[in-house]
Amino acid sequence: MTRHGSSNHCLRLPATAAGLSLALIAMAGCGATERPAGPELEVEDVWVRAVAVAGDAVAPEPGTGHPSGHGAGPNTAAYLTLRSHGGEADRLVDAATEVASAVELHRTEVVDGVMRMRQVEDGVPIAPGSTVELRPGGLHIMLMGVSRTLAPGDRVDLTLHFERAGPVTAKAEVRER
Amino acid sequence: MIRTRFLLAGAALALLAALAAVAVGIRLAALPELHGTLLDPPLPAAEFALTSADGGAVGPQDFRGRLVVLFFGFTNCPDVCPLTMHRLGSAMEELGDRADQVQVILVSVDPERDPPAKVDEYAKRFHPSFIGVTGSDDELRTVTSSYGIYYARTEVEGALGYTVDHSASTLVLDRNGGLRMIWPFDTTPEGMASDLRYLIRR
Repeated sequence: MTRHGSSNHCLRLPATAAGLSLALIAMAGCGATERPAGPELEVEDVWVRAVAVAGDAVAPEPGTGHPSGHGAGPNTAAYLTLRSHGGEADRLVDAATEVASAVELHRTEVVDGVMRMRQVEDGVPIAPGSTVELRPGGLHIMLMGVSRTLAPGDRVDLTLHFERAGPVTAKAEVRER
Repeated sequence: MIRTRFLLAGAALALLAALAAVAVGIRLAALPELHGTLLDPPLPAAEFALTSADGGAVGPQDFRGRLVVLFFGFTNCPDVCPLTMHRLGSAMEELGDRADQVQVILVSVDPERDPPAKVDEYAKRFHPSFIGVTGSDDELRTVTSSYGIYYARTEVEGALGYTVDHSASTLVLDRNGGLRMIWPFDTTPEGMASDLRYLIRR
């Protein structure tokens, strides 16, 4: 019944050679919070909300995991800022990380005091020269079925898939808030 | 003679002004800027008996003499729920030794995925004093409707299967169990702590 947005593998084969080189540049020791995804697109301030996996603290008894729609682990969210410096429009279409069994782009809206969360089916468009924030209470990358405790200060590889720029892996910092 | 009268009148005016200033000062001290909707007088709030981690029944009536903060959510909610719970945890830190005057209760509106022990464990991650409860769909419907809280299970595309749309506001019950304050979703921890301090003083 459930459809998985992305599976476990962290790095997919990049669509283009340009995508590969961008991903390699991004992975090769840039600053912790600034990840150039290309000359025209920057990925900044990448973070994941801390989450505890019960089995990490105390060994779980077999069969006590509670289903959450996709697996035993809890859910959390990743946030970031996308900054376009011009050029052509791009689109964040997908994301993946080793620590989650499924990853989807979601948007939370509070309408008339009611919180609704829905999957963003068509990805997150980034117009040339624009800045798009994924932040609490709005657009976010939902990590489902998290496999291990993510404690503040930890770092997690998060691979972002852009329509044009291809895959870009960023180091997300785990934060409490 | 005339001069004396002027002096007396001046003194009387000064006294009045001083009294007025004191009165305004007391008024300002009594009513700080609030960060949600204050219900004055408080609305009657329903007792309830939802299930806690140890299987016992828990409701706001168990915490008379303390303020009770109610939030309705679910543990699979990755964005708004942890944000609100974390803000409540920060507000408790901010309250310091007055935090024991406040009991935060998280009510899960997703009983299928959130057994009481799971909700409670989740709530305690944000502050050790927090408790998490849930109940059957029927029980939850009764509780939420009596508090004006909306929730609806909604099937969605994707790995989540379903999500639960729910009211994002937080409710504060006074020491006598009356509904006293409603905070909107975006209330800051500082705002919450300030309002709680005000309600503790009253």
